[in-house]
Amino acid sequence: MNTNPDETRLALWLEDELVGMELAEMDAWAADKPDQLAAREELRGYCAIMVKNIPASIEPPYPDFFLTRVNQGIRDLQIAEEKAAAPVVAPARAFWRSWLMPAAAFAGMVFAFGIGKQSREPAGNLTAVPSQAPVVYTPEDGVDGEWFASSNAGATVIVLEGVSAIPDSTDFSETVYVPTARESDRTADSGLRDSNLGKQ
Amino acid sequence: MKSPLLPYLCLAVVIVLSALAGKARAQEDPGKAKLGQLQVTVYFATDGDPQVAGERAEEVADSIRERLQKESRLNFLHYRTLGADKQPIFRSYENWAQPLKPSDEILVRFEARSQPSGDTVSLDVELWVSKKKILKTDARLQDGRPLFVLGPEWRGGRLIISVALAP
Repeated sequence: MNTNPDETRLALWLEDELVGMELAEMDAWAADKPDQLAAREELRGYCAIMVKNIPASIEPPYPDFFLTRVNQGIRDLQIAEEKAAAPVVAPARAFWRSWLMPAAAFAGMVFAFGIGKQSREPAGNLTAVPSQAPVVYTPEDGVDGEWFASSNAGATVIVLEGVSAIPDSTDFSETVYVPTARESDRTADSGLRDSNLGKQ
Repeated sequence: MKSPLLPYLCLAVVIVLSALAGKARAQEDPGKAKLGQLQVTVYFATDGDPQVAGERAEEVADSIRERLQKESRLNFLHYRTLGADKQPIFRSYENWAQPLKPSDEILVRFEARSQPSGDTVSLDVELWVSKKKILKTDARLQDGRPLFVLGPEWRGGRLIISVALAP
């Protein structure tokens, strides 16, 4: 058995137009439907606002099928919004635009070229790469390194401060060794073998 | 009839061929190509008695002394050469200079950063003192323009480590 009310009866119930047995049946039907109860309360709120703001001497417009007309108004509003959101078709180009815009762009290019030709050449060589200071990293705590290019000595200089002094007991007089040219010209293999010295 | 020596003969041939192939690969390793040579020299600089460096420490050439004395931070009355080492700069591999050999009190590790450009070589340079890495820097060395590092104190003076391209 279909107990759902038809649309007209539901609209009348929402607008508080039902009485007697019809009202009791619709109330029983909507008792477990909070959305319908909320819709009726919302509509009652709208009616209260209208009663409050419109004098009783003035008959409200379209008193019949109020909810239907409200829904129609909402649909009309949605259609209007869709029309407004539709892309605007560009109007047909005026005749003068077809040749004036390219001509204006060309004139602008000529003007910019002329300004560039009349400007002075830069004094410096833009392709020159400035000398960069090297990275000086001193991993030991308390050791600082200062780099500078010494034009007097014709060299690059790094001054280390805070390095632990080599003990005076270290006697380099026993180890001073200036290799001959033949000894210093070692092969790659021996050089790599020596590279293991000092690796920690 | 199969010879009992045949497996051993085959094994010997394989070993010889492997050794020859390995040697050929080593000879063709482009990473061992020399980009140049690095000369590392340790000078003892002092305003006191230079004889404390020992009798074998030679006095530096006048050109070196004048060059060092022109820079106020490196200006001392006396300079002595404690040792020097010249090592090749490899294309791909690091190398070490041990200027006070057989002592490893001062070591310089270096490695090429890029291909040489004209008379300039870019190197990663590390200075090791008493088996500790004291300094790491990226040096651009040019012919005739060395890197001087004013290093640790010793016997009342300072050690100056010169890192330069060798001809």
